[in-house]
Amino acid sequence: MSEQAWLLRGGRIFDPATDTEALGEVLFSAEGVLEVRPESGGPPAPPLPEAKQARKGAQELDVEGCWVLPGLIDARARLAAGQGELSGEIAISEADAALAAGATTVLVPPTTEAPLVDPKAVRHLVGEARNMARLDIRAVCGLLDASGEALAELGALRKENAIAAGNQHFIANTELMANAISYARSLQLPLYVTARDGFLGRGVAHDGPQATSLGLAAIPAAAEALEVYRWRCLAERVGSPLHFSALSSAAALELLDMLPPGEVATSADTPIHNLLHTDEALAGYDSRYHLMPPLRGEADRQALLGGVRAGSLGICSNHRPLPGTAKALPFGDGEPGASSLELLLPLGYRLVKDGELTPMQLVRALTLTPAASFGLEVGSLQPGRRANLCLFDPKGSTGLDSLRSAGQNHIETQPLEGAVLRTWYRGVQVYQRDG
Amino acid sequence: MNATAGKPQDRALPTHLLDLDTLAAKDILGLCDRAVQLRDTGSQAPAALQGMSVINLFFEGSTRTRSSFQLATERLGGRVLNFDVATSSTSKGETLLDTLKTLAAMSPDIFVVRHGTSGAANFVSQVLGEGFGIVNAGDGWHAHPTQGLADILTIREQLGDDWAQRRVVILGDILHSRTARSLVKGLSSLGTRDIRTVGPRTLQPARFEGVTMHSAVEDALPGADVVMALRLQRERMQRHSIPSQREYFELWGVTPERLDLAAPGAILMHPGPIGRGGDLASAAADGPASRIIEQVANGVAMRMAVLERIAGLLARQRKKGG
Repeated sequence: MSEQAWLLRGGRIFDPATDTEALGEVLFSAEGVLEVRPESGGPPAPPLPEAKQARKGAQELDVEGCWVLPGLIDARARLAAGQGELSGEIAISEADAALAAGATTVLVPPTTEAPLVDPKAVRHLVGEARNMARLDIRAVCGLLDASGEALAELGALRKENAIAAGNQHFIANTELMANAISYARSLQLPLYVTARDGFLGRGVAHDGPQATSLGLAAIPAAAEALEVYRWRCLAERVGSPLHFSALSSAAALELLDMLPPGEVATSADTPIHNLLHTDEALAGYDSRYHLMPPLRGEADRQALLGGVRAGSLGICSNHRPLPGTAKALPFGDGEPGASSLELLLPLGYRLVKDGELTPMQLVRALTLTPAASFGLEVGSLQPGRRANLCLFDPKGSTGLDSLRSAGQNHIETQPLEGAVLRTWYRGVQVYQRDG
Repeated sequence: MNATAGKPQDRALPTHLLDLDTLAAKDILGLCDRAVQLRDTGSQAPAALQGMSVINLFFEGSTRTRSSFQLATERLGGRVLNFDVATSSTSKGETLLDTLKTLAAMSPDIFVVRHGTSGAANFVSQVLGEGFGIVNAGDGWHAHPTQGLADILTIREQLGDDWAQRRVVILGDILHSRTARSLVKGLSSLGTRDIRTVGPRTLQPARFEGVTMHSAVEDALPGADVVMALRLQRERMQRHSIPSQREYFELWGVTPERLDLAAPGAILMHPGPIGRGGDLASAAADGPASRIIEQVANGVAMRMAVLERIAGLLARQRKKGG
């Protein structure tokens, strides 16, 4: 591996860990971030001793006008489709898509289609990621085995480096659920929850005026709030850390706010599309917007934005690449999901342009907040930290013709403002935009 | 043809009748006028569909609606192909998309589509595009526009054109009713403001714009001049929506006594098939307020009017070289 150091000059540096947002220089190599030097004011932290030497041979890059930020941490992305998911495959296209997104850490959730309870599958997933050596892919294993009626062998799965354990589906049996939570706790595996009641959550759209008008089976916000409470209640009993993945409703957030802080560290994130759209988008049965969790009302969207602004809610892509045929059906009969990983930053940038988030709020939600949710030592540009970085040009444009993801179900139809230009993983450049 | 369905058309095409969302009041009343003319000409109907073929593409069993469209087509001189999904290749695993492409390749003129999924007619519209006429004969819970139009015709014939003064009550399983949604949309376009629904909360949407929702029949019926009873579907009991048919009838079944709560001269309607002792009492179904039989005749006539209109638009479109 090359010991090449990099010196990025003139960019706008974002380090949520030190609340730094300033024009300046960043020096890094495979050793890690070596120095952050803002143009005005003192450095937020002292440089590493290696910095001086590294500077001499560093490759310099003028990044004026660009944002320099930590590599994104996407806490929910599916990286394969179909049978491949089941055996822990990572489609090269999706790994490429992650790097083109500026993401250097991705969490793969357990799902009904791919529960990640076979240690071989998890080993395969983690091993493949390691072989690619270009980004960190972590598996969230399932809590229950394939039958859904017994605990998964969490010990074996933890051995394969699962980062957390989650519910691949709704667990109706509360005793089983409590045991699963206890067992995960005894193995120090934090919980990763997809909060959707298995009965009330069977619909295809948010329980609002659109579902009524279009005659679509509805999912009330209560389906999410109920699960938030159930999991929180049971996690509290054993003091288990808890992450709610892909929340969609004001009701869930209000409930989390209302619950006493307790002993349990609780974190959460929301999919990027739930910040951008509401169920109004479903008009005319536009199945691009058939998503899970569903797009909800404006009050929900505002509550989610509020959580992001406050720094308590992360943003995930909720990426699910699907072939064109998956949605070539009447709305509710098609598969839910959007291909979103590659467009995560430009989509988030839209929120900045619309004045709904500041740049730092966006960056924090995509980096430090998710990193902290899982105790990962990334998401920051402090000297000594791993050199996972992303270079974003707000004046660039991300077209839709040359996307790397194999998913044919991205929502957007027009090029997006802003483009990821380069991505570095452990100090090595792993992505550079063409042209 | 648009093979990558998922994105809706930018405008509702006039040759596609998918719902009553965008039909203007004058169009609704125009179709009503024409339906009356066609109904009263008997066998002298114009051969508006001469040389044209209509495919009845029914994914849900329905003898009544399908027969109604078939009669309407034949009376206008057209040919009908009944595509029965149970015996077709679709049930052998051919996708809906492939079925549509196959049938479209046979160059029929109009598709009449009934499907169990809300939005299916919109999907067919997106896939087939402008060259074909499409009539939604009922998609899931969403819409049944020709039924809505026929019901409006029945109301008009009995009570006249003072739509702003109409007080309409729809009783029963609103949540799963495409008939109710289409009727509400059509009435709203005509200017009717007092629309009420009544039934157990388990069978009502959480909220319904433009409609006042009630749980008790006694609260909803006073002053109503149209009482539309909906069919209670058996599977609602399995789905824990109501405890039993007996209790449903006890609390919400339409009886002559309940009809007495409505305005004098109020009419009783039902989209059929009726569930005697469930949705309504026989005495009500067969009583003087009932217009259920008229609804059936109006159904055929309205379908004739709709098919005639679409055939005319298609013919003009083709002349223009579209």
